[in-house]
Amino acid sequence: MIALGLEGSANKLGVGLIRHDMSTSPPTVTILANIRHTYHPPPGEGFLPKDTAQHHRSHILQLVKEAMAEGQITPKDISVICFTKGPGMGGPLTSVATVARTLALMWNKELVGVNHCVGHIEMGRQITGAENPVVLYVSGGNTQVIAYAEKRYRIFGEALDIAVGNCLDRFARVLNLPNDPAPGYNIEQLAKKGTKLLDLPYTVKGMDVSFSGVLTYIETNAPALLASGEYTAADLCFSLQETVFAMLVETTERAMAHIGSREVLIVGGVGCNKRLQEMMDQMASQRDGKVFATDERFCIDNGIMIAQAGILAYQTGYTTPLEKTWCTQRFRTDEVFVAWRE
Amino acid sequence: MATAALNERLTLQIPLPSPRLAKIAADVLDVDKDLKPEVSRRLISTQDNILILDFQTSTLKLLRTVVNSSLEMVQMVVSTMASFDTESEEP
Repeated sequence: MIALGLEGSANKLGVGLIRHDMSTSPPTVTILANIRHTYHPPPGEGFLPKDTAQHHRSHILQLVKEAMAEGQITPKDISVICFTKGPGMGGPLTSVATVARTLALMWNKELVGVNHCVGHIEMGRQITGAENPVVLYVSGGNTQVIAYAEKRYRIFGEALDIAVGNCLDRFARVLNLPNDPAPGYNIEQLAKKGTKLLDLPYTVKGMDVSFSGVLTYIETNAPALLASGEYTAADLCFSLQETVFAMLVETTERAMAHIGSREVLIVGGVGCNKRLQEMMDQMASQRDGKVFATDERFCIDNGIMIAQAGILAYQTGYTTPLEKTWCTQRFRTDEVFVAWRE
Repeated sequence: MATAALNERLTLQIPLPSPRLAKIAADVLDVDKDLKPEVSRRLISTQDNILILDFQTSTLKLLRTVVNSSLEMVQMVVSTMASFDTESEEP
């Protein structure tokens, strides 16, 4: 069984092709293609919905062609077409869904609308083999601590205002860091050179976290701190990472303690960050636990995760009828009925 | 609240290569419903190979916006068809 996956909820446009060989138990999973094209605005700017949607429309057909060529797949080989239903940015999501619908009707294939967060989780599980981890999903658009229980991915804790990646990305604009390959990546590299820790607001509220306060604080004070020579840009990046990552480690640990879990799976673009993985690992080891993470092919938004989550749902008999293939900016992780797990 | 009169109108007739493709385009586009039907409505239909988009809005600005975004999606559908239609390849 082969699924085509299309992802475009933010500035990354991804196309993936995945094969599940149903003759083995469990099925053998092969990644046939996983390609991505990212929209980078100029330094100091963020990506806006209209420009992002236009980027996706300009590149998606070429990406689909390349993916099918790389996987040596023709339309008749494809069993199901999967696309991101939400959450995310409206215009970009709909631009990609429009292509999915058109292909499905031309080629006479079923469609599966996938929850973006569930896509991250399922690809993380597939790649790492983590059995039943607490999941920390951290990206520019989402920050959630998740655990599976009774057919749903339950949200144990989340960011109350902005996602951790959004906090980092917006601080990168203040420093005028390049957005290529990603603002968070550039903050991570600069932070490695930081030595001085600035005391920043630390906001954990029970199982939840808040980042707008620390962002406002550092945005407001950075110019003066840098001008005074007391702190370098590297020190500020270092301080911000240490603070926000510690908040995430705290709430993840709290979830682990509640559930009695010894595994942490980090997914989402911010999950690529080596410092976050290191800090999480220190906490997990103290609890006799283990951290699972993937590399940028799967952490960062991609099409293969949509194909994976989609094909799992499809195998349980789930499809999305055409009239329901609209996209939505808000789509809670626990709205999805995870029929494919015990 | 008084309902706005949808006095601004525009009809686009877009020829597609075949009735089949016109119907597919109509079905694809019609999934996305009007965000604010009380001020902006789009009716989609086909006639043979012609895709017909009927716009009715309360203001000219809204008309421009909805026509522009609809055309962006029409362009996406049409290019997808041009690149990937398999039926046209059959003898």
